[in-house]
Amino acid sequence: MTAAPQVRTLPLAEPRTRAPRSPARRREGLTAFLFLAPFLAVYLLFLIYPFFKGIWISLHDWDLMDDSIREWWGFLNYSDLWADPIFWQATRNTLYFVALTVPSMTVLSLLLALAVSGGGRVRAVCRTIFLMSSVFSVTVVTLIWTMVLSTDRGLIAPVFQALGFEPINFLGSPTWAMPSLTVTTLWWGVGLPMALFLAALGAIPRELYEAAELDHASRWTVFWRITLPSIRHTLVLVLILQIVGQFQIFGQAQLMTNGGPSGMTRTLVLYIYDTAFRDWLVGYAAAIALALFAMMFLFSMLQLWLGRRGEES
Amino acid sequence: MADVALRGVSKSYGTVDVIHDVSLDVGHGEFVVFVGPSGCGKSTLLRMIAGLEEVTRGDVLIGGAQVNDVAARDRGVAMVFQNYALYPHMSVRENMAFGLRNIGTPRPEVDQRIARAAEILQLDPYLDRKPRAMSGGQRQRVAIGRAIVREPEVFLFDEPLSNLDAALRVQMRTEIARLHHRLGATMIYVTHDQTEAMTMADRIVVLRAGVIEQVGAPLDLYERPANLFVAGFLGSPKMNFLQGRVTSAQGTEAEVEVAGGVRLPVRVRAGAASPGDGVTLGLRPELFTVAPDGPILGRIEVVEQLGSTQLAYATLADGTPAVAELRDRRPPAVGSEARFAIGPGIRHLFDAQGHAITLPEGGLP
Repeated sequence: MTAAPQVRTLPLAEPRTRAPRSPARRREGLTAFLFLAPFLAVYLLFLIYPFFKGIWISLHDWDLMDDSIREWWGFLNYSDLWADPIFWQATRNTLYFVALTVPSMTVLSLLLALAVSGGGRVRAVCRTIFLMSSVFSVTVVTLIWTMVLSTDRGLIAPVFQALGFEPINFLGSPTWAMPSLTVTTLWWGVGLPMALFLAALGAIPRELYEAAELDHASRWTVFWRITLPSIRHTLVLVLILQIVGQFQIFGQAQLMTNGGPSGMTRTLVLYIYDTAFRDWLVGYAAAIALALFAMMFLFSMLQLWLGRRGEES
Repeated sequence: MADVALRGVSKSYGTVDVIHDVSLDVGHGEFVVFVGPSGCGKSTLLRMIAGLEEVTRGDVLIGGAQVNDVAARDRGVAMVFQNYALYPHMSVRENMAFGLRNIGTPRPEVDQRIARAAEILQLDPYLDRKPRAMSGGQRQRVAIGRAIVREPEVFLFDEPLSNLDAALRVQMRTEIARLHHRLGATMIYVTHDQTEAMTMADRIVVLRAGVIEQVGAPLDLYERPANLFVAGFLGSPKMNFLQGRVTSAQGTEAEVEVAGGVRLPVRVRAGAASPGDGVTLGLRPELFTVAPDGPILGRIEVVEQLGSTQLAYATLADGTPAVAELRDRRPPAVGSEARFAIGPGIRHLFDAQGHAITLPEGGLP
């Protein structure tokens, strides 16, 4: 009698059975979970839950104050959004602000980082000064810049007068209002990206620069061929952080111009705020918020993809 | 090719002096090795020649011209760094071409020089790779290739092999030596490894605490160290130092008594020793042997088996550590008492200040 073969063939579709986990491994897993638990709790409670709640709200007529108004509207809010000229204006404004701010912030913070990186007391003092503006609250920053840009008591008006020009009402001008918000934002926000660039620049081995010096590289060549490729990861990070951050511009627009003149600085978050908390149309506001999220996500992914592609080539 | 000269060169960082009044001549096509313990200033000295560090006092001359104020790029030197310093985002080819492109070398010539360097260093298969896809030894070859293509007057190497494993280090050592013969260029090489210095150099410069202790051909330094430091630094295993006393001195003939009452005749510089002087006797391990009837008592601590020879590390009766080189397939057992004798050969004698007083005299040229 021949013994039946003891080989069991696994059907292809059968999931691989897990090897029995030893108690030590299970303990490790439990420890890991315990360490992760506080973060996961916060993440679920304050990010995942509100996100899906937001989607849910966006499908309703949802009144903030009156719990009895919770009518299922399906995609009505979204079709309204598509036809809403104010939404499209706010989108254009936001994109304009992002287009003004993100490249200039990135270039400016990189230039500052290049200027103040390295040894010496003057540079250390400059680093501190440039970082300091970041610690102010938006209220303080906008107050300062509203005063700086003021036509009668501002810092810039006397310069215009001295040159024989009529001072520009920056915040009241449809042309200059948004660039003024950009300048304010640059002054306020340049510290963090500069710090990121400083860290990246500090991590480039000094020998690379010495080798480049012996290789007759000009300063320009050194910047393009050594420095920039060495900090490209930080560059992508800064761009993504800036895109995510600047799409959400709110405080400056609300406090300095309140969306004016004639809606020229009404940004998406400002529109969301007005819709939800002035007009109490929370469902509609949630729909705009999701549209904003989609835009930010799209641009961040695009940036990440471009960064990766650049690296591969 | 060019010669390099240092004239009274000093370097200070603030109030800290790291190089003190160093003078040195490196001839055309010579291979000179700066060797010394960590922090002795050898790399600083090299970087001053390269133009990467400013000279505080004194002059650096390359090809007879003072270059103190000449930018590093214009000194006609190429440097190979300890951590290679390859441009990480450029291919091997681009790394080598970078310096040539920057000075507007025509493309065919760039290609030709790269091809030649790649052939010398066997880098052909890797020309389109990025440095991160290469091993340490290959990267070091690229770094050397980058120096070669520039056809510099002077090659500077800053501890180029210290990041490599032992076997690769030996291989690269021979490759660099071969390269020197092939190119015939002036090379200055910094290392803390005395074996590298001994095996590669035409001349060794031993540095300690920013001061040149001795300059000379490897065997000269080995056989005629100018002081205790050089005697102890060069040679592996280290020279044995036995404390002793001069018992008699007449002209160049002196007699020294060391541990165990052993009296040895030593030839010294006339007038350098007088009876009663405390001295240090230096003996290479090959002169210090285990002998059944030897006069010096000691205890064997460790025996290292090297195949053809064995090294017996012992502590002598007076507590002095000593190493004996043996040619005995059955060396004494660890922990056993042994007797040591002093064989014929060069005996080095150092005075109380550590200066060699033996004949023939070593010392600075």
